[in-house]
Amino acid sequence: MVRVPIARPTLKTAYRVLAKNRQVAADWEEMLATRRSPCTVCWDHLSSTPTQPVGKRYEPLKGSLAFCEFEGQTLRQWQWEIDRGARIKVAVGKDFVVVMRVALGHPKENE
Amino acid sequence: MAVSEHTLTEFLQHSGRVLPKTARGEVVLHRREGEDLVLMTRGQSNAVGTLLRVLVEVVDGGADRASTILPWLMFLDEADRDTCLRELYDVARAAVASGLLQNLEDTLYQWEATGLAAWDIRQERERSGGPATLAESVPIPRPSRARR
Repeated sequence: MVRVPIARPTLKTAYRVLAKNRQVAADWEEMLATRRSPCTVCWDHLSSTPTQPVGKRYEPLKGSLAFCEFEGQTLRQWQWEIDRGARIKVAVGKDFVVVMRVALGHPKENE
Repeated sequence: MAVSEHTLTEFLQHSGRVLPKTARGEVVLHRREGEDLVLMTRGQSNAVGTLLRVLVEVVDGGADRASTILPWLMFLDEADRDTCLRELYDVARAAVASGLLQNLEDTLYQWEATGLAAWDIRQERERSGGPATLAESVPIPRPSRARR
């Protein structure tokens, strides 16, 4: 008898999570290598309730960074702090979330 | 003004009813003997302390000195810096009048996150000489478990 592996079912989510381009997708993969668990928590939130803040971890941006243009649409920008040295900036659309930037590092001046 | 007022006895007997109210701002506890007490979260207390220190610096040396207490202000462009200080002033004034200190903490955090995002943009420009060229978006699947 042949045993066939059953892959983990993929959840149907309210929001598709996209990377702005291949560079951002590569940066996300690089961050996953060292921060898989907090990235998964982030992904789960973005794919289900991206317009709800999460304490000091996830908030909308302000001023000139409050909105951005993506494929002809003006979208609200938010930032998720993975940890003190890693953040991702996202733009939230009607049924999708775009990761605009994956940033590593922290300014010394802000310690 | 507080978001809610209770007696100390009520608080001691039903803390589960009173404590959630601190999520919005300060709660006053009246005591029969002794001065009233004020309850707030550590984050709200830190936000009030930070704004007081900003006020002292600004009164002493002008708006430019605010960045000695809020170093991330330096990462914002001039227009955003002005908007930020004006908004903090408005929110602080409303928080003092209403007791809604959580708004103050949230506003401070959102502007700090914006400052960090502005720093990230500057870092990227310095590294690559300009913003990344736009290309087609790519789906990001849910991270799978780490392979062993």
